[in-house]
Amino acid sequence: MIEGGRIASARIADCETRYSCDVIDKLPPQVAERQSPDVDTISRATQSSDAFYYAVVDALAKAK
Amino acid sequence: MSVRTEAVMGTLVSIRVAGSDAAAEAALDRAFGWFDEIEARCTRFDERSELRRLTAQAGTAVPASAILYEAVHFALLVAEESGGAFDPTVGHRMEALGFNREHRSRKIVASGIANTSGVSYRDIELDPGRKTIRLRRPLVLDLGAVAKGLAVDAAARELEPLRDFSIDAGGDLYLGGMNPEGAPWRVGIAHPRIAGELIDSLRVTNKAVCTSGDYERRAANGAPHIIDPRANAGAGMVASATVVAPTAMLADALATAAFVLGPADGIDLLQRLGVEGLIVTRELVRYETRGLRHAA
Repeated sequence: MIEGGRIASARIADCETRYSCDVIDKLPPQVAERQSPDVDTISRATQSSDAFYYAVVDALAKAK
Repeated sequence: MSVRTEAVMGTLVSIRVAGSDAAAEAALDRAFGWFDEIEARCTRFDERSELRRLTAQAGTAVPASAILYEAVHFALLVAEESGGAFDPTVGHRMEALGFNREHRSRKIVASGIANTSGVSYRDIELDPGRKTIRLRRPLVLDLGAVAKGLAVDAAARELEPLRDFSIDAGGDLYLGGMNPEGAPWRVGIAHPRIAGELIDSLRVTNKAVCTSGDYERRAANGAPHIIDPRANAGAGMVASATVVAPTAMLADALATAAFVLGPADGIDLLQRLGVEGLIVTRELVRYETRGLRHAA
C-alpha cells in the first residue's frame, strides 16, 4: 500500500524468483515495521530478494 | 520524527530524522539524491554508467569523476590492506555465478568480457595527479559494496546538521547522534540462521554498522554472493561478519573482507585497522574485537 508516494505496507503480488516464496513472504512486514521492541534498528546482510525489490519498485512507480 | 523509504541501489533505503519541518525534508531530499547520483556512476548493470564506460576502455587512462575516482581508490586501499580478500575485480565471477540481473529492467547483463582469469585489483592503475583510472587489461569492476557505503556516508553528511538520525540501506546502517529516547542507538545484529531473530545487539552513536552474510542473495547453485577472490569459490567458514566503523564505506568493505578471511584473520584485520567487529561462523561460534562492547 502506498501513501503519499511512500510505502506504508507491501505484499508480494507475484513471486518470480529463485528463492522460495516462503523466504520472500517474511520480508514485506519489515518494510513497514522492522524494529523489534529491544532495538532501534537491525544490521543484516543486504536484504534484497529480487522479486520483492521489483514488487516495491513497481508499487512506487504506480504511485507516481 | 520523519521517516522516508525509497527503493534504490537494489535495496530499500530508509532514513529517519528528528523533526519533520522543511529543513528536515530538504535534507532528506539531498540525502536520497546521493544514492541516485552514486548509483548512476558506479553501477555495473547499466552500460551508460561511468563505471561501464571505464571498463569499455581497457588500456586507456580515463579521466574519472570525483565519485568514481574515490570509490575505486578506496576499493584498492582495502584490497591492499586485506591482501586481496576484498577485491573489486571479482565482477566476472559474480556474473558467472548468476549475479547478473539488473534490478530495474530484470534483464541479464553480460559484460562481454570473455576471459578474465588471473585478473586482480593490481590490474587497476590510478593517477592521483590527473585523476585518471587505467585498467591494464579487460576486467569487470564491481563497486557494489563500496558505492552503497559511499552513498550512506554522503547522505549522513547531509543529515549531520539535524544531529539525530538513522540510515538503513538494506541492513547497512549509519547511526547519527542519539535515538528518540536520547540514548545511543540500539542496533540488533540479525541471526544468520534464524529469520527474524537477533544474534547480538550493540549501542552505537555516530558510527556505521554493516554486515556481510551468507543468508541473503544466494546464487542459483547455492553459493553465497561474497566471492573469495583468492580461491575462485565462495567463502567457506563464516555465516556473518559485522563491522562497526566511522564510515559505512569502510564498514561495508571490511565486513566483506572479514567474511572472506574467516574468523582469525578477519578479527586480526579489523583490530589492525582500528575498527570493531563480530564474526559468526557457520557453527555459530562468535569471534569479536576487544573493543566491540565499547563502540558507542
